[in-house]
Amino acid sequence: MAAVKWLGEPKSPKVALENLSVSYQGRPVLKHVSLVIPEGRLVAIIGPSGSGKSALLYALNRMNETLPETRTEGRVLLNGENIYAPGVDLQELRRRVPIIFPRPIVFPQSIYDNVAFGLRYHGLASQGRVADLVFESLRLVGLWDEVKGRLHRSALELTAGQRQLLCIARALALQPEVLLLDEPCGSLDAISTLRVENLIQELKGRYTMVVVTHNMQEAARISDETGFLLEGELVEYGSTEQIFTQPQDERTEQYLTGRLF
Amino acid sequence: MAIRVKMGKAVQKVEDALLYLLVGLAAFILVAMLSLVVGVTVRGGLPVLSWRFLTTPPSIGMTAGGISTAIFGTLALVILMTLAVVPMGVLTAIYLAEYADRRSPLTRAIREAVETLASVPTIVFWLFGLGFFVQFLGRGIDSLFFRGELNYGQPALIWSALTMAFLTVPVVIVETEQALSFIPGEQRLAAYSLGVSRWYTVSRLILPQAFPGILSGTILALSRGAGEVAPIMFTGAAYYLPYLPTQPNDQFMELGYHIYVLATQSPDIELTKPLLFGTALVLLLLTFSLNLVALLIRRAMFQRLARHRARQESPRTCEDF
Repeated sequence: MAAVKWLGEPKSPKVALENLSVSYQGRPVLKHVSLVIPEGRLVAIIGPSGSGKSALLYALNRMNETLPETRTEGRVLLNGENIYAPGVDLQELRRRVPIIFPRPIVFPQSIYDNVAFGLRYHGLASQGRVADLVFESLRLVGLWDEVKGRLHRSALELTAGQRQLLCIARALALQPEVLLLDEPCGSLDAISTLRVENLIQELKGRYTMVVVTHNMQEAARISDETGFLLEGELVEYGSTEQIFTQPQDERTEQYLTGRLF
Repeated sequence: MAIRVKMGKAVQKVEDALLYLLVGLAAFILVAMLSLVVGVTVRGGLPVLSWRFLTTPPSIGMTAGGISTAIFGTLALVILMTLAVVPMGVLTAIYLAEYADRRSPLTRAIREAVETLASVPTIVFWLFGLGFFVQFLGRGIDSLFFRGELNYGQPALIWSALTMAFLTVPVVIVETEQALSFIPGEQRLAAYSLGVSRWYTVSRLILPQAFPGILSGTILALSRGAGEVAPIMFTGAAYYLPYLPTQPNDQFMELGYHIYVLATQSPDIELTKPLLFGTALVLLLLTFSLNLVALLIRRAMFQRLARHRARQESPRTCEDF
């Protein structure tokens, strides 16, 4: 395994993976990965299909445990606390670290109820304040002007791009600290992709974000740091600029130039 | 070689035609039987069917009058049964579909039990109802609360309703579970990823979508319950009652049982025959219309869910439509 060292300027670590290994049904998908995600930065994880990108992401809010026969070893520190320690409140963890899926999974409810879904459960606002937080989230993702006249119409009336923005609004309403995005533009057309990418860039700084993508251009466009995964190993991790212009590892260069799949 | 191929084709054609004939015949026999049953019932029952018939109690030793008491008893029975069967069936289905680990022995045992329950002969439910509810539970209540005085330790509406609930609960379980399993798993995943509990997900997100399935299951159970006679004989149904049941421990008259009584215990078979057919027609109309409503609800639900699924999978991609 290549030695991974942090090349950017030192910042307070928001999330730290320490020797993290994940296996599904006895098959290792992530092998001894260590990396530090500084507060407020946008980290892209790239790599070919099956390299363990999603496994890494799912390990950060323990969503991997919803899959059968998953084993996770090592530690993941959120604000210095191990999220795999016994007694961790899973629901609170996922409120603080929600995940966005490749397909925009909206609930067959009204636009308003979609955003309010998690909000109501976590009791983040008194009855009168729920609406404020819903509106605020919709404004934050830039959907407000399109949906303000039809908040109580079904969310299924929205287009794919609008739906993905709604999913992000639904997560942001929970006032999270870290946002996990699993190929957020994976099922979107070019225009919607641009819209979601622009939003992600606008959110930079406000939230710590981890984006999994197989789209290298996307990683180069939006991220501050990039990690390259290959067959479950973190080959290289550093500033996006450095990874894309002067990769240290031969395999990274091969992947970026399309000679490694 | 070429001729053999042709021969083969000819044989296939004959086979096809034969099979077509057999399938057609089977379908025809089925439809003919149903038409016969319905036809005979309608022909015999229609002349006596009137508002008066539906709203007056039987009179003159059940050779005249109507069936109002039996209709009332049937309604009371199925309403009480619904109160018992819906919570029992829906909660079991929720457990099986949303909580249980499909491979665990306990889940398998529950599933087996539900299937077995659905195939138990109805007369066994009668025996069970009499033994467990009337003799055991009823007597137990009497000795505990009524100092042994006979109140619940006898055939009663409540015991019939509970016995019937056991008979019809598999219908509710199967229908509800089917509706639950039709809802895409990714919705649950999306909900869990927001850190909400499983029960919140089930109650706020999943159950509302499965509601039509629960409704159609309940209606099917109602229709099944309204049509069964065996479980209520000797657990609560009465041969003849001059009054309407008002307490859960009253006995009651019921349409199916009334048919049985008119057909086998009549003092004058010629006089009761029209009444018998009239009662049968009312029962048939009741169960048919319940089944029809269930069918329509189910179809509407699956169409809606399929539409929703299609829209989930290929949402419009043009930004402003």
